[in-house]
Amino acid sequence: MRGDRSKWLLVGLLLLAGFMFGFAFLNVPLFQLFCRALGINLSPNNPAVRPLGEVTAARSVRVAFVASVADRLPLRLQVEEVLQTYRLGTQGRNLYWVENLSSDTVYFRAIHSVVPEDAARKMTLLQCFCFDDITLLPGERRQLPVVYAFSPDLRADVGRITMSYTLYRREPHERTPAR
Amino acid sequence: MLRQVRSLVPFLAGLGLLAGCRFADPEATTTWLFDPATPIAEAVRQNFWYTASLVAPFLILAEALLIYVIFRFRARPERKPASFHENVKLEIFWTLVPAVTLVMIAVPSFQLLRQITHVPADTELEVQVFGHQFFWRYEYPEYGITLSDEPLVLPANKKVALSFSSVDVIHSWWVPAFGFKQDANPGRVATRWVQVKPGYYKGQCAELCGALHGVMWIEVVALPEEAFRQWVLARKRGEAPSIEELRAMLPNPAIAHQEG
Amino acid sequence: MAQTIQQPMTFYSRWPKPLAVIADWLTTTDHKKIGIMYLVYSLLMAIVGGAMAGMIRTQLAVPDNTFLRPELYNEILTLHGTIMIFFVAMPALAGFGNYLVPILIGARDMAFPRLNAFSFWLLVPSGILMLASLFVEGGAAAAGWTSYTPLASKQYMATPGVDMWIFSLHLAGLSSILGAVNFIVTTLNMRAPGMRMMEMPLFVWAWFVTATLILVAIPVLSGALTMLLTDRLLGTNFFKISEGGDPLLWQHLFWFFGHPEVYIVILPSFGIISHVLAAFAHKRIFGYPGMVIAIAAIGIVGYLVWAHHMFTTGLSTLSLLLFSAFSMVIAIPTGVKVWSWLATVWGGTIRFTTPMKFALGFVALFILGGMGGIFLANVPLDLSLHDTYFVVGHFHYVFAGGTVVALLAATYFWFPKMTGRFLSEKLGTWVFWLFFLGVLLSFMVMHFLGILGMPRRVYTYRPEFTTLNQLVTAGYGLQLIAGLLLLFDILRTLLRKPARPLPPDPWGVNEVQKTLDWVTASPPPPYNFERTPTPDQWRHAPSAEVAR
Repeated sequence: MRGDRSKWLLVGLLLLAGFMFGFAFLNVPLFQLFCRALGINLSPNNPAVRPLGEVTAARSVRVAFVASVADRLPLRLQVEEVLQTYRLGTQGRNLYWVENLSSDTVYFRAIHSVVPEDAARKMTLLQCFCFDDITLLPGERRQLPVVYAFSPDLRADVGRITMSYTLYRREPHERTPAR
Repeated sequence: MLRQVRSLVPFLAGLGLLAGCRFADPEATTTWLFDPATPIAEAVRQNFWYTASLVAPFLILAEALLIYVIFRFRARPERKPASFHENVKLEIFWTLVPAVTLVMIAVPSFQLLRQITHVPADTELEVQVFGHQFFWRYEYPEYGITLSDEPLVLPANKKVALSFSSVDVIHSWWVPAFGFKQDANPGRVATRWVQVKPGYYKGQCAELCGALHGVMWIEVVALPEEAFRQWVLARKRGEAPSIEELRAMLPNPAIAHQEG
Repeated sequence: MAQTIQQPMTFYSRWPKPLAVIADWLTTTDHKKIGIMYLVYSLLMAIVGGAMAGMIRTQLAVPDNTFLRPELYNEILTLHGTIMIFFVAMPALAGFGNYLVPILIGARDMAFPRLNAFSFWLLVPSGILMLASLFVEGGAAAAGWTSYTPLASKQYMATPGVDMWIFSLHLAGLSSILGAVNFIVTTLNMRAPGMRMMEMPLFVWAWFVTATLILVAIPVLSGALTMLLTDRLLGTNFFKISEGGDPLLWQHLFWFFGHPEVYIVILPSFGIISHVLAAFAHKRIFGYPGMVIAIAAIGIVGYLVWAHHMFTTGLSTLSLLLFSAFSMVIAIPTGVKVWSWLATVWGGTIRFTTPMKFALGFVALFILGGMGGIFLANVPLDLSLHDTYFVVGHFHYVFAGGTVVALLAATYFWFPKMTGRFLSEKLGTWVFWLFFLGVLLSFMVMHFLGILGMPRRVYTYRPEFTTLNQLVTAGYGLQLIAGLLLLFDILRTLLRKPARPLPPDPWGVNEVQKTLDWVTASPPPPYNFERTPTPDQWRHAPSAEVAR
């Protein structure tokens, strides 16, 4: 009798442990949802991004652009204007230049990051090369435009936004995972 | 039983050594607690002593009670142990008093936190910091200057925006005298700001990043306005002044890092 | 149910004596023998982990030392941390838990004795795998016990040592989970008839809460380790940035486990200290209900603070505020414990036996360690103190000054119960003072080093930190001597036949305490009690309740 109760308890507790194991994996999508809610690591044209508001205020912010190359890729990534003064609610444009410094074809993709979190939440990327697979022939130089907009309801104390692109290696025929 | 008294001896000896090591050696690493070099470090130092002043009474009271108990309540043939084992009022009291104290600690530190994390819009220079195994690279996009595995040169007393990221593993950029450290995460950017007194500062990577993590040093020279302009021009000419030459450009190189 | 104290017949009963004894230990399902095996395992691993600490302190005795290569230094520091937590602290606490919990609740054994044996034996391959990883080509895992990606990814750490580290922790984790399930079922279902939950000794409560923490926290670690493993071996992309993975996810998952882990190794220590303090102050535990609530509160709030290990990663300001606030909240129930311990000894008649010295030393060191925690919970300060020797000093105060000192108190306290002999009080005094002063010195100085600007996990340092580092190393020396003395004393005592059998309550503590460990014989017979314990053996007389 008591033994039976113990066995059921044992099964229940092991199920709980199993659930917590699964919970770790559940965190992969949860974490992305959470990030999206907080505006971290947004992919472009994310449904979570709010639409552009009315252009009412003429407030401007500074937007700084960062460029870097990871995985020792033989690439040079440069941005045309490192600092831009941007009026909230309008469309901002900038150009990145990427150049293949090697004599091999290089496959890569750019990872994108924006701070502070309030800015990331209120950003719309109308054009972006983030998460695209890009192939660059030996010596090729290509321009990568970025068109962005921030909603005018950006918190008043946000006066500066930083946007970063980092290039990572991709294998030539890897399929983009569905995310 | 002199246990507690004795236990204070290494503590006091340590404090003495702490002061001794720090002030005997003019080349020692400067730190936020003794020589804060930025407004943030100054505020952090104040917050430290404020926190310590609130924590210390509890620390002293608890250790003192322990010492008292040890001396006062030794077993003696004539003494009988007390038999009380609860006192609800006392228990509520010692739950509430620390709670109030913690609120007193939390409120100002939360305000300070905003000052640290919020990069002001009126910064005068942009420096991008990148972690590499096992060195730092600094980009000055406005000047087209890149410093790889070299001392960082900043204009003194000017607000500078710093952005941090990494091209390989996680690093952490830490100059103790600046009052913060910031992880350089791969694929992710973070921003902080500094306004440094003129001087020479040392730091190093603070997040385990591989075999040579322990020697991933940081050196920073904050030059007065004119000297900084000179340095930018020299750099654009393709010169790379050594750390000695940079320090020679400081107003008073010998004590620069102490006086600030 | 008939209680028997006769050894049952087994397949090895007719074997020659030494073989039969070995076979008996290898096949036992007796919680006491399993508990002792856990303790021996922990002691052996403590020798390994302590030797590794010695290698680290030797390397850091002078700057630019070449005693350990930088790669090897990182391997040693990774294994030192992993071994001390998973193979020393947890098995030792599980050992005392195994031995004492069934006795303290008046049970014959754990609820599932065979599962219990299985939990222990899982640790053996786990430990072997961990130690063997040092000898594979490429070396052991070298990314710290936290193994942050991408450093621990295949790209930056290709050695199979990391995979062995993961497998080893999988086994150790499974062992802990099964053990925890057993503790929970035992505590809920196996109490002697009439024993209410709020009558259970605090050590049982502490282990009960700890077991629930293990059950919820360790599977998350196992999940995260599985992700790291499949990323490394099967090419999945949980943490690979270029494929949309996120290294910060590892940190969140790791610390979701890692912070409760801190309480997993400290809560049972709280229980031990409560028993010892009350025993030698000749008083009952002060504020028993408050103590139980505090243990539970620490366990629950412990789940809401994981990101305080990540203040410098660039979390949003809002997250920083929330996690900082929750972290500070933990100080309140922790404070309740400390005040209640002080009130427990207050007014008592204190006998300064060796276990009591350790218990008082625990309180002294734990107060210091706890206060350091407030500085770290304060984000602006943490941004300067994080990942420095201040943190190393802080958690060593809590681990070495807390858990290990509590384990030493428990060792001296229950050694007569387990073996029927006392450890030497004279040597014990030496062990205590050497260890106490060593801990106090080493880890206090570490706090100073952190404030002065020395980061953790470095194989060398700037010359101005030399003196302080040598003090830390000197403190290690004191702890080492204490450890060797204890080892010597244990071996010597075990090899000597006791002159006469000890009574059930050799310390003479039970007229006030009324816990069942001092009711049964020393050492207890198989199945622990000749008769099922009755409430008058653990329940305090109503008259005592009225006092004050």
